[in-house]
Amino acid sequence: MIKEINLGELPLGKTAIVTDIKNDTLLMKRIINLGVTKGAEITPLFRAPFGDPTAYAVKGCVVALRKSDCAGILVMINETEENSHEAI
Amino acid sequence: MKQFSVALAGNPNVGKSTVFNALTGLNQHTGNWTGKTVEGCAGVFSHKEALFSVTDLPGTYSLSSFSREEEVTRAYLLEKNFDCVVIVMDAGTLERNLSLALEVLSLGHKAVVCLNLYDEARRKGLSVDTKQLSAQLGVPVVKTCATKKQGLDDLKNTVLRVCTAEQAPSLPSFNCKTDALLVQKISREIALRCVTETNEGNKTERDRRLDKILTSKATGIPVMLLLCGLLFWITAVGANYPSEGLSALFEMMKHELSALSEMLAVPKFLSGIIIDGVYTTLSWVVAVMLPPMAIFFPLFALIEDSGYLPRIAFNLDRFYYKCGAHGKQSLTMMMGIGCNACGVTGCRIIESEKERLIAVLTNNFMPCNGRLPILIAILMMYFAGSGFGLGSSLRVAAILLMILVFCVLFSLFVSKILSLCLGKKVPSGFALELPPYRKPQVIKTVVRSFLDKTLAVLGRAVVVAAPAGAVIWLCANLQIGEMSVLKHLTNALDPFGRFIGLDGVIVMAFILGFPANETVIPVMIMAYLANGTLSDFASYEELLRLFTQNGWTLTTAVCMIIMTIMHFPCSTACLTIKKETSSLKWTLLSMAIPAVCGVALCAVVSHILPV
Repeated sequence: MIKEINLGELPLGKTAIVTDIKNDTLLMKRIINLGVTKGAEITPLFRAPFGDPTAYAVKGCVVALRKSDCAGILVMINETEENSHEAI
Repeated sequence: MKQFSVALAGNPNVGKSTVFNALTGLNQHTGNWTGKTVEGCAGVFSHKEALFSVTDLPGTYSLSSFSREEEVTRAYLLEKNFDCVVIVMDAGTLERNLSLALEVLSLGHKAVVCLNLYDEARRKGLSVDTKQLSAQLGVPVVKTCATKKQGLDDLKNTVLRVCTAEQAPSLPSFNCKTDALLVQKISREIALRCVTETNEGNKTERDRRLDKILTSKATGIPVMLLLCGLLFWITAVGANYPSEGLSALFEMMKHELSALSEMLAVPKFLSGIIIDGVYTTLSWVVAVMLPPMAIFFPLFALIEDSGYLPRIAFNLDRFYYKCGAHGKQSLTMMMGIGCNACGVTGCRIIESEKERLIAVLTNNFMPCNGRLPILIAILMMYFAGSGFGLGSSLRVAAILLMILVFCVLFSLFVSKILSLCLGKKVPSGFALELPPYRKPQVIKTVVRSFLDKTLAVLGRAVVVAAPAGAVIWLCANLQIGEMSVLKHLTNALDPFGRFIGLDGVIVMAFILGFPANETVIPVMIMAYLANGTLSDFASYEELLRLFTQNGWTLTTAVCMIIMTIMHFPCSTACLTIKKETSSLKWTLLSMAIPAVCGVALCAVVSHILPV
């Protein structure tokens, strides 16, 4: 099942595809310039010692984003695939 | 000889400055993090009877600039006249780099694409079809690996060819200025056509392992503190030996000079001002201030090159967020440990005006390299215990680390207050690239920053410390009524000094240290010597005796440390703040905040501490 969630809710190590990104503030423009664009594959890699921000792998780079800033970014994951992963 | 001007542009962290250095033979500082270069830097090289002037522009992710250093790049590319733009790209992250390249190309300049870091891309298991890329972009593409000086001749030849060519390259038929989404789409298409993944590289594996150690919950913060402690320890221990040697040498030369001036019957006044004033101050600055700087800076430069600094910003962002400041402020604060003026300029990487101002105003709480040796000297005298063995040096490093943590916490505290005072919180967020770890060019970096620092400090010593020495000697030896001018001054400042746990001499030394904090201790020595009897201060023990004679206690030492961390910025830093904020109000405030904090804290501490 394909599901759309907020980037901040994506579990570590799970790859998703960016489906929508708000383009309203300077910060969001910057995030887009950093490579987080519609259609890009994105994977949360690790979190900072205090739980925030999180480092994401996108287009061969590592970009750190705060959870609050991920609110404007929607990603698509494949639920069934995740379940089958868990089964393994 | 034909002359051409060339601009270097590209994303942050793709090695523009390294390409620039390799082309021009200059030594622009490089660093593996976003925002190392915040100002355009110019140099020249000649190739086959043609002279090229090159401008290294700050890295930017796009031409719709957000922060001040990116504005430099945008303005340059849009307004200046140049013959050719070299677009430096990271071969390993082609797709993202392409969007800026397309934007730059659509400006219609003659251009060459320099595909840098090609070795790194290969290790990642990527290969780029340069012929295809060149065809897609309509400009020549050259592979380089600037750190190893590979592909540079090819690049020079291509730049020359493009510069002499009659017309601008034929551009692909789209307009990148209008549609950001279209640019992203085209970048993706081009990248898909040109990049092939040969095999699964293991380079990122290594980076992730390092990240696990350097940023994880369990080890991230401890490792960071340990690294800082180690840095201070090496600085304190390593500086001790050259310091002793230099002191002895200067002492010996002083005796020779005195003997010489007596033999030549130089007037007492003249020999006094030159030998006791200028020479003594100079030798102190060189012997005691120089070695810690000459050790700290190269080590710091290595850390910068490795790519660890953005990880520190990443680790600490939570705190900054809570204090209404920007995570990148930790980067500017770390630069402040090197030099507050650099730290203040570095604040340009912070996009939001309010947060940038907070970072500028609090930068001075980080003890710069002009003040670090003062701290080391005080700690060595009062907190190292007897002798300078391993135990005592470790203790000094540990206390220095605690002082640094205190500085960071205090600057965050002030940031919070400023953030509340400066009105409504503008959410600005944190989006920072964490670059791949790169092996620093150890020897080159160490030698270069050592030489740069030595020269800079020597220059400063001559320009600032020498006149300061002359002035202070004059003050100590010109009489008004019964007392010397110096005595009048220090007496006037004494009540205030006593109130904050110091004395008139120390307060005066800080005031006279305004042009450069390096002179604070020499001025104190000079002033004490004018009142006391000691004539030799080759070692910390002698210095300690001199200070004790003049009424120093442990409390004085603690207050001295507080005052060293918190007083008005030096003149260079003040001028930089004026330039960066273009406001006298903020400049004055940036002087007042640390000074008021320091005075208040000293007053409290001196009345609490028993001795």
